[in-house]
Amino acid sequence: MDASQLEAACERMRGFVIPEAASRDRLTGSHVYGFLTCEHSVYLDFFGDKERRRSPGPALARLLARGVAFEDEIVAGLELIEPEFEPGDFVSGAEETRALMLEGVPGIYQAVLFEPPFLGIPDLMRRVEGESRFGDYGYEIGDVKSSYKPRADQALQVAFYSVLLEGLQGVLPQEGYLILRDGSEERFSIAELLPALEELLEEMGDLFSGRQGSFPHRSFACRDCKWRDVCAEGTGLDWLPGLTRAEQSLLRSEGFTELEDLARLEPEVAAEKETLSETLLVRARLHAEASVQGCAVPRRRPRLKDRMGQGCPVLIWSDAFDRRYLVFGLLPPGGEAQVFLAMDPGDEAAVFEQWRSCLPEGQSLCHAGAFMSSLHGILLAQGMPGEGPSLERRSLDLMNLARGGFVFPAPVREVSEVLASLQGNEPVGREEERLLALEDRDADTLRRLATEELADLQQLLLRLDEASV
Amino acid sequence: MSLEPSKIEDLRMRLRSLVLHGAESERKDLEELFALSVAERVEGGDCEESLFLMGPPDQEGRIRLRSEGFRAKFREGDPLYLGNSDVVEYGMPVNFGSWDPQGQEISVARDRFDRGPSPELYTGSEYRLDRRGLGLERLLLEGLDSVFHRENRHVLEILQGQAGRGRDEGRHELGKKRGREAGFTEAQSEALAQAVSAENLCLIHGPPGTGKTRVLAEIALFLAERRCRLFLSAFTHRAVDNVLLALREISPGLPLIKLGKQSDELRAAGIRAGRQLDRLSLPDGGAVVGGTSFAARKFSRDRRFHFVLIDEAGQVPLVHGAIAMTQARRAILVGDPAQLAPVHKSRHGDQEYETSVYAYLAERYPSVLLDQSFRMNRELCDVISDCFYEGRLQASEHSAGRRLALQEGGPLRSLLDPETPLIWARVDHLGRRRRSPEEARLIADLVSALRHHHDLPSSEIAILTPYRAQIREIRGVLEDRGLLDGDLVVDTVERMQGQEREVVLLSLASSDRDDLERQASFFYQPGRLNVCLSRARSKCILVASRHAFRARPKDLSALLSAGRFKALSRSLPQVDMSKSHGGFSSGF
Repeated sequence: MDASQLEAACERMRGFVIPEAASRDRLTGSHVYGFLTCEHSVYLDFFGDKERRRSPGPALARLLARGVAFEDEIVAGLELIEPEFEPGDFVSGAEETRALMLEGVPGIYQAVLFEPPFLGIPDLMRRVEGESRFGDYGYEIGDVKSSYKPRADQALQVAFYSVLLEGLQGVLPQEGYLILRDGSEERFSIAELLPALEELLEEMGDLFSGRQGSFPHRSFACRDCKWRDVCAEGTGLDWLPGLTRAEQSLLRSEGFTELEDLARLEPEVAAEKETLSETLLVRARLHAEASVQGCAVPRRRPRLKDRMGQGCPVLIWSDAFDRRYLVFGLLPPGGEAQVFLAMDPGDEAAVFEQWRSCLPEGQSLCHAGAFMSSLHGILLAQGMPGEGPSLERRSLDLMNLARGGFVFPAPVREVSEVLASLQGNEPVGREEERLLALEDRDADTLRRLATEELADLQQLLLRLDEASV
Repeated sequence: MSLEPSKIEDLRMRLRSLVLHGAESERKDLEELFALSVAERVEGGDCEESLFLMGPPDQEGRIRLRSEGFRAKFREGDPLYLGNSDVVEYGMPVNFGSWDPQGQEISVARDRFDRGPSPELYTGSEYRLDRRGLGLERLLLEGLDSVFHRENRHVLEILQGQAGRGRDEGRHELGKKRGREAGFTEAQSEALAQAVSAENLCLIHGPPGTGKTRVLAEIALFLAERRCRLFLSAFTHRAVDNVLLALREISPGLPLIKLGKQSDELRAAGIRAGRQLDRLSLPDGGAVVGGTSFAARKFSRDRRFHFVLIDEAGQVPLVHGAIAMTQARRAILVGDPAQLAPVHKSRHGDQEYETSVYAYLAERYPSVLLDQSFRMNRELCDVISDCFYEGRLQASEHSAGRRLALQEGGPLRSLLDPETPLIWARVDHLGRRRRSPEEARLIADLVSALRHHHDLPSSEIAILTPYRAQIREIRGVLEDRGLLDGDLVVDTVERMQGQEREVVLLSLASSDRDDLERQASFFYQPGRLNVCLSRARSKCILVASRHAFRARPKDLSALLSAGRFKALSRSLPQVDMSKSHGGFSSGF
């Protein structure tokens, strides 16, 4: 690779420099992808103690494996050539890749785009018409993803690879693409993504160089993060949920670092702090109180008086990877939990009807949020979208009501976590077990978990009832 | 061309679901709103309290309430409840009229369609105004029944992309001639010609300032002169009135009728009104009847119109547009999908159909582009053209060289320089969500400089912002400094579509990335940016913190939209006002 090619690529990267301490590391597409989810996790990838990283849990590991299998399946159907090189020898890999591109092969699997410190190994590189250093053709980048909808982090990863490719072929690809779970190809303009990519790399540079401090920021993504244990050790503001990063920065600037100080804060203090609004301080105090006490703190009364009847807990669980609806449950007032399983694809319609016929008339359908998306999904799949509104009219999202009525010490995703938090207990999540059972089609476990979830929904409904009085 | 019954049934079911989902989402939104306390609703701009009834309703059902202030987000026509019970829905259904800051009066009108029992109101008692649902479900479903009636197969053909592309060549030639005589540009003449010669459908794409309303008025006049009866529709009564008034200006003698309420302006222009389409007596020759699509919702066996014209079709939801199209065999739609789109409230709506009638049809049929803007100068027009129209929009010769006329010297000269028609006044702050006092102060300084040093009248200045809270902040600062008068527009973007000023000041107000990522589909909507920038004739000043451009939404289309803002911020000349006007910004 000559100097002008490197220069062109680096110009795009705006003079990015990884400090010496991390110079063994490469900046890869995965870092770009991860930066959108959590900047601090990428910072720790370079500067954290790698011995302290957590391995993926069984469910996440299984999901990753399914993703790899899906990628293999897609790739097997395409005519692609893979560059051959010793593992880790990216210089040779890049040379092999360039040689394949000079030959003009139609497609390359896991090409190596290496301009230190930048390393890109996209799933797909496809030959396209148009002038480049190679002649009257060039290449564009694609990636295989196991999601059904394209996401920003996926597209930015492709944009990153595309800029590296520009250094090689002298021309920025006009478009990139993602192959999604349903086999469809989602195309997008690379030029339109460049402002976001450049800004992202600038911010990375600021973090790595120390021009900007890097702090944890608690979100739902922390649950599966490999650096969770490191961030969780942090005390004070860093690990407080419910605040934006800007708000954390403002509080730090005004000298707030300890949760106890925030929990005791008087809102009138806002009058003395020009940068802090009363609304922010009230919210911060509530979250700090919840964290210090280790349990949920009331915020406002949930409005339940429009509920129909005593309420009937319901659930629908799906294997999101395959978009299969497997578990349908309900707990009629005064009755026993009923769980219906559709283990075979052909059973889905009949099982759904069976479940639907058991829904008691005149009762609200009390669920945990994700239920409505699943309901609409299956109604669409069964060709019955018109049925949605009448069921939606009866629905009551208990998780939404709980989040509106209380402030929790940690982000809550499951009903069991909400209940535990309301009672001041350590949350015990069942999501991991459920995801594995869904994938394994483990009927017994699914029945048990569904029954427990329905009981939890019933409990939550009672708690919200008490709080709404 | 035959339509497959299964496809028709699928379309019918999906459009019905769309309407039902929309109604359900509206109901849920209100449920969540009413779950908040009165104080929270007031803070959110969804409730006005401490209102005192001044007297019984007048003959036209108008009710006057005394109020010391007005902070709510209510607009003219918004459906509300007037009451004082804990149960909001027990209140009297009314529609918002206006707020008179001088007289400190709010006026509302009893909803004439409400058939429920009327709660007692007592003069001198204290009341509240709360939001109410639009309740359009029944009207929309009735309208859909019309759309799918066998007599209206032409609408289904249009929706399915199967409408013929034929045209009458003789009328086309006459239309071109008419355009030349009217002094139209080549594109405007072609648009007029295609519209009057279409046998089924014509789409006219009208970017900002390209004379859409004038073209539409000439189309209507041409057809009416040839004894055609026209149904003119738009999303709101105000939009319908605007086109009728434009028509009256170019043709004093043309029979014009408004279906619905007759506003003072219509009355003054001699345009009569009627309530029901089926009872309307139309003249033998050409005439134009204007109304919203609900006026046309019931199936009328004798289709009484030769053409239906839909203005601002980029803001008319698909279902509304389809209902309007039942009134005639031929439809002419004028719109711009690159400006503001219809607001969708449905949480689980059908993405394919949750769009405007113009955007939906533009994916299936070609359109004719009005390619010259008579509003903006070249620099402003070029930015809009590159961002939203693939470089196809040009400034007209008349407007290209337009410059803001300023006196010598004066404060903030670097920002007001006429030679930089579009500029970013950077005012860094952090953590602001809906309100920025920092930006409000700079806006006030700019208004002061423009009015006092450069003698620019308030009527030539508009201040736009995405948020009602920022409107209140800016108005408060302006009022404190004696700069607020009735001619100065301080409003959200939505209210400015279709209007223009010599100078536009745009205050983004927000600087919390995480919050911006959550509301990215609103804040970074390309149509909103387009409308903001294209209201100005010669100067637009963007007042914002650098953090307003830093969000990276997780959704791809939102990221691409945010990317346009980022690209714009990087390309604009910039003056950093943070030292003098900024707030806390470092550390993140």
